[in-house]
Amino acid sequence: MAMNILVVDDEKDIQLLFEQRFRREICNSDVAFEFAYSGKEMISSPNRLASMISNKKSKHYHNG
Amino acid sequence: MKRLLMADFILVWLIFFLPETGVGQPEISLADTVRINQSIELSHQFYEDFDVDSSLFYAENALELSGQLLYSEKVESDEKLFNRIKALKIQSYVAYARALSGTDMQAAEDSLMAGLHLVGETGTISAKAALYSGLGSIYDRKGQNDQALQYFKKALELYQLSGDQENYLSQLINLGLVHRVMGNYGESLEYLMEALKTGRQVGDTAAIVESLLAIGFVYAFVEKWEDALRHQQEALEIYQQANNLWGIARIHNDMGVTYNLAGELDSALVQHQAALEIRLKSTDTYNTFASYLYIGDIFADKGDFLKAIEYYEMAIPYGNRSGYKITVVDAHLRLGKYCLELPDKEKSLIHFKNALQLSRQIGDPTGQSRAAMELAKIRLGKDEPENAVAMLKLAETHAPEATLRFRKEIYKDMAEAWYKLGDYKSAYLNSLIYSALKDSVSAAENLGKITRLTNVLEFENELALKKESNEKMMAIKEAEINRERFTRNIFLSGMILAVVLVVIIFIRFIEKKKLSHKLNETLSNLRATQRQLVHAEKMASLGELTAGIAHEIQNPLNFVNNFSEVSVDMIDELTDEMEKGNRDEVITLKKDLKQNLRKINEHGKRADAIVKGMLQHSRTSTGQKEPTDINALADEYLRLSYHGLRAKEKTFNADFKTDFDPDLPEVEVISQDIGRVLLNLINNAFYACDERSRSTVSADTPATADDYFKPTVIISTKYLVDKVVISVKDNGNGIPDEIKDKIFQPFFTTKPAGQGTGLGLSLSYEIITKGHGGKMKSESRPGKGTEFIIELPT
Repeated sequence: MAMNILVVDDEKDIQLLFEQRFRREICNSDVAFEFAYSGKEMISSPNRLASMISNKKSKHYHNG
Repeated sequence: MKRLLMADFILVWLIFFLPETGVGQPEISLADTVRINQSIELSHQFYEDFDVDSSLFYAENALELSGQLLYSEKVESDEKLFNRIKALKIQSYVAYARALSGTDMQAAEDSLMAGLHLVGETGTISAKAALYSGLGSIYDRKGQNDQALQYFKKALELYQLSGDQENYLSQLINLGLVHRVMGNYGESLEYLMEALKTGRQVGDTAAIVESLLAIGFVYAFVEKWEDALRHQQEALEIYQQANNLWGIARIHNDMGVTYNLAGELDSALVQHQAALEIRLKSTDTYNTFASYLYIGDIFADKGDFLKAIEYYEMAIPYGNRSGYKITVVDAHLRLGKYCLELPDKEKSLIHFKNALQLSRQIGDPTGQSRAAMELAKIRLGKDEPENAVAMLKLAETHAPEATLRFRKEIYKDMAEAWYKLGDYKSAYLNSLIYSALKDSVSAAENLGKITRLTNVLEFENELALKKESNEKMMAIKEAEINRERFTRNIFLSGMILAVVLVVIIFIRFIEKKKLSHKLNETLSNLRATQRQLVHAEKMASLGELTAGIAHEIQNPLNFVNNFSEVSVDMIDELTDEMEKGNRDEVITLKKDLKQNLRKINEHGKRADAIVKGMLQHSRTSTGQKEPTDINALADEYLRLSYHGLRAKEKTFNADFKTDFDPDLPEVEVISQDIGRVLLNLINNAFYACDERSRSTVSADTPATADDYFKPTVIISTKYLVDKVVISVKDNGNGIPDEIKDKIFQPFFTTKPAGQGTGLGLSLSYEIITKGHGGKMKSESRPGKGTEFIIELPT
């Protein structure tokens, strides 16, 4: 069973970093990533039960 | 009183045992001149010791010896020696005359005249002066006052010329005494005062005493008893200091005379008796005689004739021994007179006869005349007119022409005697002479009285004038002294005042110095503290900035790290795939690797930009004004502040809004300083909001979403005509009215201790007003919020 992870950060480069870091896991379908760049995006994400990794210091989070 | 000393006896010895020289002997030895000189000195010394006979003996000796020498051949041929012997002979004449003056005035005068003849034109000044002075004394004794004055004046001039102070003073005193006898009291006083003054100047005690005594009698004669006694008292003190008994007796004598003149007989008696007591212990026979006579006179004045006669009788032996026989005549006359009062006619007769005999013997016409007249009176009383007439004729012969009153008495008695004898014609003639004389007498007496009165008046006038001028002088002197004293006092008080002032100023100065030192110390302490505080404030704001900066710089660094790590893994993977020969995979990996490297570069640049921005901050801290975009600055610091606060405080909860004027021009400001101002204001605003939200939350939970307090800070900018307005507004609790005007004061803070420096707002105010010429004000409504407004000129 593959893990679904939702990553929320206002730094858009985080997606690229994660996709490359977990490239092998993604290829093996061990992990599935979903990315959100703001709180609103996160809420509207389909996989909302996924584990949340968030940079809590993101200003957009508070600013939203 | 002077006594013969041992030296005098040696002199006597010398005179008698030196080798004799006489007429015909060719050798003139030095011993001869010495002998003459010594004889002269001895003569003077014996004279001063009242031994007239011895004085006369040595004077004769000197005269004879010098006379013999002067006309010897040897001396006549030697001019120098001749002059020397001549001088000695003149001195001998003077000594001889002096010795004779008491007993034979005519002989004395002759001696002096002979001396004067010898002196001629060539004689020495001092020799001439001595002769003149001697002649003056003789004429003085003879009552020839005008001549006496003349000679004394000549002597005075010569002594003044020769500079002989002692004798000059003697002449002054002699002149004063003669004038006094003449009744010229003013002139007398002038001479005597001059003598006293000069005497005091040169310290000649003898002259001082003589002047004082003579002046004393001048005052006594003008009936100024107190002045008289005062001068005599001063003389007495001088004698008392020198312990001179002879002198002390003399003053008592003089004071006695003064008291007697003043009519104070008892005081006079005391003085005379004091004088007598001293004199009895001395060999001064003449003055002892005089004291007895004075005391006798006083008793006679008191009417005690027995006592008077007793004293007169005691006087006579001393009078006889003294050699001044003329005074003994006087004593006998008095005795005769007072014996008559007892009445003891026989005894009286004896005394008058003695007086007559003695006066005849010594050639005293006045005494003879008076004695004869007294005898005639007794004869008349005894009814012996023939004897009386004989006596009266004798009296008439010897009576001095000058004493009219006396002569009048003679003619009166004579008329009476002739009348008793029955020779009426003679009686009538005599009575005619008597009445003529009587008129003359009264005229003369009146004249005398008038003269005397005039003299006294003149003297008084002169005295008054002198006194007045003296008083004037005194007044002037006193005024001068007063002025000097005044000036001195003023000067002194001025000095004291100045000193006091100087002291006060000095003390003040020291105090001020101490104070200023203290103040300086305090000031430097304050400055140090201020510097520290400013530094602390700077550090605090730097910390706040750092917190904001840290977040900004952390993200790119994370990317750099992570991308590089991933890339290392990917390189390993790429190597594996290349060995496998999986070409597609390799291409994908290479493409990703390239992308990763770009991202690393990108984020590295991002971090670099942030650091550069910080460096720019530190660069602008040099304080250079440069055109700045206030909007950007405000936004930057708003964010820095926000993140700083959030970094420090996890529970920090506030929102912010910006309302920037897009037309805002760039303003010339020191961006770091304005940044600090904004940071301060924004921090304060957030702090205020946060405070309020905390208190609200803790107080009650809001019921609805509308009631929910949203802490918000609004930053807005606006461009007006010539200025840029920046507003920092919060919706906190606001500033209470009572501290509104304190908020810009340095060190004023409402924050808990240790949290705020109280310098933030004051520094901000200074930066805006002083640094940029702008304005800064606050508007606050308690419970609603605060707005700080900055106006910067463009």
